[in-house]
Parts: sequence; C-alpha cells; structure tokens
Amino acid sequence: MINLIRADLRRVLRRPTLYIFAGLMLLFAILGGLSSDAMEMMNIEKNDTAYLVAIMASVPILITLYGDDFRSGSMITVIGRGVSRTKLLVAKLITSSILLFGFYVLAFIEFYVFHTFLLNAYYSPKQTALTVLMIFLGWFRNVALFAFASILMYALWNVAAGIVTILGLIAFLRILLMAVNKEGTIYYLTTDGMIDKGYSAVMTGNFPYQFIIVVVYVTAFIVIGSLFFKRKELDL
Amino acid sequence: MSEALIKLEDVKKAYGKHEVLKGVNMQVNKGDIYGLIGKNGAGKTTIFKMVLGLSRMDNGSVSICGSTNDKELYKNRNKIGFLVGQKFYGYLTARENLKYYAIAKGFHGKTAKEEIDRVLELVNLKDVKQPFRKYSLGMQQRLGIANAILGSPEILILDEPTNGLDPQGIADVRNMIHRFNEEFGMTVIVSSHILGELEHTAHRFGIVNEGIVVKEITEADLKETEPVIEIALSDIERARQVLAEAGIQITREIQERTSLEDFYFRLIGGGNL
Repeated sequence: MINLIRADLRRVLRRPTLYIFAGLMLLFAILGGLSSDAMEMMNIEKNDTAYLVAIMASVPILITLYGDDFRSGSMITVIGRGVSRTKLLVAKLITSSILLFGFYVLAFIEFYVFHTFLLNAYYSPKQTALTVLMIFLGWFRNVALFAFASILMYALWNVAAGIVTILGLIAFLRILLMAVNKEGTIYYLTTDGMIDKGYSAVMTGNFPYQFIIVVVYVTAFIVIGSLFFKRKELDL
Repeated sequence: MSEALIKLEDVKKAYGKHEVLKGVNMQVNKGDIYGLIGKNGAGKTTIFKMVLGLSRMDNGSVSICGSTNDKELYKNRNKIGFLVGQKFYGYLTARENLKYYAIAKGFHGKTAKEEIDRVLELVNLKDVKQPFRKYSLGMQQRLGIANAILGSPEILILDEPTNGLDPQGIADVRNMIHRFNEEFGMTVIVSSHILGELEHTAHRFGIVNEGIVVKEITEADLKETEPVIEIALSDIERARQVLAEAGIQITREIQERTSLEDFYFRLIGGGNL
C-alpha cells in the first residue's frame, strides 16, 4: 500500500493543477484578509478560510488523483497486477488525506504569517492552539467527505460525481439540514455535525467521543465503497 | 506432463441475458506462446478480464500458477504482465509513466531506474522525451509492452499487440515476443485478428467462438491435417485431367501444411474475422 501511495503522490505532484489551485487559494485568502478587519480575521471560528480551503483543495485532488486514473485506466493495470480493490481504495483515500493535509498546512501558514507579520497582529498561545485545532478539524471534515464521495465515484466510475457531492456537501449540507430540521438533530448525525459537536466538547473540556464516531463513519464509507468497487466490471 | 500456469475450467460469464462466456476450458503451459484466436465479440478479452480479476465470473474457476483461492490469486497475479489497451497518463513521458508503475510494483531508487532503462531499451523508446499523449500508435503499443514486461513477469498477456501497427512494427512485436519467450523464459498469451501473423508467433492455439474455446491445437496438429497440394498451374483439375489423358505423370508436387487461417475457417465457417 505504501508503494501505491508513493507512486500516486509522485505522479500527482507533477500536475500543475494542484499548484494553480493552491496559488488561487492563497490569493483569495490574502485578498479576503486585506479587505477585512484584522481582529475579525483572527477569529478563526468566524473565519471562512476552512470553506475556502475545502473547496480549493478538494477539486484539484479529485481531478488529479481520481479523475486521471478513471480516464487513463491505470487502476485497471494496478488491479490486474494483483492489488486488491479495497487496498487500492484505501491507498487513494490516504493519498488524498495527505494532499489535503498539505493544503490545510499551507492555509495555516498563510493565516499565521499573514496576520502576524503583515498585519502585526499578536497571537496568544491559546489563539494559536485554537487555530491549529480548527485547521485540523477542517482537514478531518474534508477527509470524511472524501470517504463518502468515494462511494459514489467507485459506484458510478465518475469523478464528476465526487466533485459535485463534495462541493454540495461543503456548501449546502448544514444550511439544508438546519432549514428542514431546526433543532439540528439530523445535522448532528452527519460527520460535519459530529465534528461540530466534538469541537464544542473540546471547548467545554469534555471528551470529544464524537470524533471516534466520525472514524467509524469513515470506516463504514470505506467498506461500502469497497463493496461497490468490488462489484464493478472493469472494461479494458 | 506440462506445468499449467493458467487454467480456466467451465468459466461462464453473462452480462444481463447476453452470455459472453459459455463454459470456457483452456490451459496455458509453462513456456508456451499461446495464441488466442476469435472474431470480435467471441470472448477473448473477457477471458483476459477473468484471468486478471477485472471481472467476476458467474461459474467455474481460474487457476494461476496452480492456485484458485482468492488470496493466492491476488499474489500470483503479480507474476503477470499484460498489455490491454493503453493505460497511461497523457501528461507524463514514457519514463515517468513507467516510474509510476515501477514504484507501485515495489521498485525504488536505482533499481527502478535500471529496470525502466532495461525495458525502454528493449522496446526502443529509451530516448523518447515527449509526453505520452503525443505518441504514435506504434509508440503507444511499444510502451504498453515495456510496461507489461516491467519486473520480468513469468506470464505475459498481450491483447492485440499488433493492432494498428505497420508491417515493420508487426515484425518487431513478433521478434520481441520470441525473445521474451526464448531469452527470458516468459510464457506468453497473445490474441490477434491477424491469423497469418499469429501462426508465425505462437506454438499453441486456442480457438474461441461464441464464448467457448472450441479447440486447442498445436503447430504439429496443423501439419497433420489434410495436406494442400500446390501445383504451379492455373487450373489444377483440368491440368490433371489433361495430363492423365495424355499419359503424362506428375513427377513433383509441393505439399504445404494447412495454414492456421484455413484450419480456423474450416472449423468455424465464414471467411472474414
């Protein structure tokens, strides 16, 4: 599995798409920062950076990591050489998590450097810790969405299904579910809702067991995705 | 007795109501160059898909190097290299594409570089620098073969390797297949529409028609079938008659073995693949 991850990382990092989206993400974040009040921007809880990163990271990763494979058929070669489909699915998810992590680290660096050095803002250790936590939770949220979207991608053998699902969930999941169910009972059953609750638990000094439930969700998504993938007839 | 590296027993596959394989039995032995013959839609590619685990069979069993259980099949598929279409990234060069597959296969650093150099040299693509999307069909096929032989697999599956190649390209592929078999000891399964070409490449043949391997034959079987008598005259019967009436004996006849193409069409019927 490590070999698959290494091969994919090496290949994907040669695609300019990733760097273009990373550059755009930084540009939008800086422009957003310049047009906002510094104190407001520093409040990570009210900041939209996590949404920006989620969108700007998900699209190029899906295109390069999954889309290129669906188009070229390279997955077929790998499977034909004896790699199990489950292993391949998990390897892709780990690779996408690593790439997502890169985007989130980049966003953190931009956020921190931009405010500390360019806006002369002072981050207390507590604010820094909160920023790190929010960045980590943004990444965790994104990984769960990738695991969910991979079910549709492998079932339909189509990366567009994954892109639409992820963008739709990032942009509308909370709004839609809160609109139909104001108490949020449905929303808080989703991975996003669980992560929100886990965050509240951390902030109130409780054990965030909801994060464990999210890991269980992700495992379930992998199992379901794997079942679809195993049933998929691969054309030569 | 020959060691069977790939064996299919009563393999059936249907897509909806359409039965593609109706109980395929075939055996490829160690050291064979096995030619798989059949017209479009006969089931050749589906047989390859079953062997490579890309499609689920409805019935029967596939054995690779003597194993039929799923876990060992995965392991043994690592001993297979195959060319089935062109599965490459358009934006990467030949070397970069092979590097992807080499790393995925477990090659690292200097070993990966040496192995890639070796296979690129064998297919004469070592100095090509442009990305894959700019390759001619012949170059694409050669890169496909290079990828198939990466890591010197025990078994090589080549699906229509001469498709779209010019006569020189076809001859090159034939020579490569013989070299892989004789020099590197690879067992080769090759499918082709060009029967005359396959006849010069393979030692054993499996004839697929409507989802069944109707016959497996060897080169020797072709020699033992009814001989064709070639007389260098335009009208043989008339010539014989005339010669007999005139009391002239035929003193020399050139006997040729039946061609694979003749054998195939006699068995299956029809005249075009």
